[in-house]
Amino acid sequence: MPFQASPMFPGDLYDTTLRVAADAVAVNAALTEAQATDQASDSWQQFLELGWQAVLVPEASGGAGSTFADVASIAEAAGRYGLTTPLVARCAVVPAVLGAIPVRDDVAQMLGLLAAGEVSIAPVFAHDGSCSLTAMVDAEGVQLQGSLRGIDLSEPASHLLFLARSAAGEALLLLASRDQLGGSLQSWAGHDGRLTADLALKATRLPASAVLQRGRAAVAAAERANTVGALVCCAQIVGAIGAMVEQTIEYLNTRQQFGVQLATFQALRHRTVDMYVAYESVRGMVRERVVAFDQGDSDAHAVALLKHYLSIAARQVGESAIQLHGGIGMSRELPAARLAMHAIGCSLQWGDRYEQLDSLAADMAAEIAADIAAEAAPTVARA
Amino acid sequence: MTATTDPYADFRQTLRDFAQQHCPPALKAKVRANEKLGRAEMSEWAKILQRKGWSAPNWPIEWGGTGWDMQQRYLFEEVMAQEDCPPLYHHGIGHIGPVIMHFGTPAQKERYLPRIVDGSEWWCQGYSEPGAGSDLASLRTAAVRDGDDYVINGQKIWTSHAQEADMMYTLVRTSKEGKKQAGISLLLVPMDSPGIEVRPIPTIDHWHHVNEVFLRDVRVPVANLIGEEGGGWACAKFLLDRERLSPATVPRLVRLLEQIEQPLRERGRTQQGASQHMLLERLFLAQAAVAGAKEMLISAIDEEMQGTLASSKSSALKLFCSDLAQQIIGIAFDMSPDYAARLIPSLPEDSPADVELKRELIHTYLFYRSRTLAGGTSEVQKNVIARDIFGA
Repeated sequence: MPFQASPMFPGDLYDTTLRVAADAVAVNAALTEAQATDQASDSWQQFLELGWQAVLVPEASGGAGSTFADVASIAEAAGRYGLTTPLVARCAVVPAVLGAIPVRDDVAQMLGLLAAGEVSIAPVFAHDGSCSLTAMVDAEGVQLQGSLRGIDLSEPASHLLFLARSAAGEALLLLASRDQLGGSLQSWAGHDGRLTADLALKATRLPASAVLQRGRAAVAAAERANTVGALVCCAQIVGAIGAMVEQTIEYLNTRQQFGVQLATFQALRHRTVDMYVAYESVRGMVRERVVAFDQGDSDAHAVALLKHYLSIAARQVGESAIQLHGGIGMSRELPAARLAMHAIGCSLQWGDRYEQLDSLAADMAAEIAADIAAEAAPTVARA
Repeated sequence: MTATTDPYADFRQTLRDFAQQHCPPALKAKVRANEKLGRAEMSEWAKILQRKGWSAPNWPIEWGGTGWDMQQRYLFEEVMAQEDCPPLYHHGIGHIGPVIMHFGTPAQKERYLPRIVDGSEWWCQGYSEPGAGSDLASLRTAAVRDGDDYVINGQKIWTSHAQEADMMYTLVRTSKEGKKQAGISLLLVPMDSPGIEVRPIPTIDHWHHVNEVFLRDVRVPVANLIGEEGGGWACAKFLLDRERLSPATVPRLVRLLEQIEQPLRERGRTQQGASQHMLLERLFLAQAAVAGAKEMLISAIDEEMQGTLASSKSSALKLFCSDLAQQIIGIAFDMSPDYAARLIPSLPEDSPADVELKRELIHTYLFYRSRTLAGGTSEVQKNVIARDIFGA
């Protein structure tokens, strides 16, 4: 029996997502360019009805109060089909950020609507915490000026969750509906079928209630968003890598050249083995980190290490899948080629290789600086 | 999603207390410095562990083992590595012990197992031959039955620890008929038998670990045959499958990585250029990878206990860990000042500790080229994996 990937967290969520994703891919083989639309795709509609946005929402707010392992199992299944549906953003990041906000009736209510699939909230957080949106806070609320960049609108969003900064540099975590925000939208079709958009805002006014967090708490919320996004995105990559290994093996076992199966050539076998070993190792790494997250260890540094590693692995395996398929690897009709595009797309999301490297190096530099300061302190005191 | 308490916390603490109280500081210092350990160091530690009942964690209680579950066995290796205790001696505890337990007669078990557990009898592995490395089944060292003895003639190579071993478990050819694998038997050979000559092989790392072993008319009683005559290949496979799943591999890599991180941090105080960034990226990748290796190992051992482990997975683990070991030691090599590399092996023995460590890390770098060769080269592992994942 040729290799078959086994899910990190098997169960109903995985199986159901797999079925929906298979149907979705059968309908649209990503040959059409993505377009901004207010119409949810059939698969997204099904995910909303299945309650995938509710998985991480606490039970008290009408959610399932489930684990990161559950949401990772959804992401892994979707990854096997290279589904561009924003499951990571909408089903993992948003509930994780909103769920961590101290009790507020309006937030609890919003979580309820999210769980019911009646709203869908797109998060917008740059990996480095930067934002090009300025907020003026006054007695009546907030006035926004600038732009929100890189909003994933592959499926329609009713609300946006984002960061803005006051002139004094204070961070604000804001939640607003698309209607409240208005503004002018420019959207971009991604190479892997994702749709991202930039929203330009001019003197947009929001009520004071739109501000969910301020200062350090807002920055922490954005960091949590990026950490959760990177973690669950890694589960998506594991799914894509597992499927690419399977499809590459099947192709090499089938295709004949020089009168023999391609699978008889050692050079091709060994490169496939490299893909397989990458699969086993990233599967182990991601599983370990998701389990740690569920046990309360949400160390951002460890997730940054993970996403850094997986960004490289996604690229390498994607490139190998294309190469080992030969010419047909360049065709968008080939599922493995679309998976490669998807994996490479994921490598850039939620902190790419070098963004993660920069933050890891910055962590270490800060620790070294602290060590030096600690050593210098007694000397200063003596002086 | 609340933090769960570690059900093994007490166990971990017991291990740590024991390691801190009972492992001699001189031994720890050698381990910490990454020196090459031999029989003296490992058997000293084995005796100490045996008094506590911990010298054979993977063995059943009946034969002096611990009866620990897999998680406990992993924790044991993890804490011992963190505390710089010497490793268990793999040839005895990890390899031939379980083979004797599985294939041996009651008399063989009585004779050999207790002396493995207390570290008093030392073993080496006579597998490879000049013409039979990766293609082990081509081995030609012959054992011919003569009354109650086998008479062995031939040559073994790459035999680690042969210079200090009491016994060698040896694959020999007892028949030239049929399939190559079917004519192989496993014999236990006392190293003081007349006709055995051990010659050291000088290696690139300047450590003495491998030898050539010549066997000329070496007589061994038939009672030293393990399993059936011609059943040696099954024993060898049994052993190899376990060799790839040693729970010690990953914790020792974690410890090595910690040892390298510290000087790399120090280096960061004065070096902020491109070299430091490149070294850091390699460090981060290795840190992520060891977490993956640990999870792969634990799930492979779980599957092994349930009898569902695919050979692709244990070979993938071996391939991944041996490659990772080389990547980690490569970081150490690249961040060491060039004089350290130039000075081996002529560096004075009483050099400062940090210079000693660098020297040993460079020895280790060279020694670790063997990680992707010993126990099946990476290329052989890839062939094994490919057969499995391609289904042919």
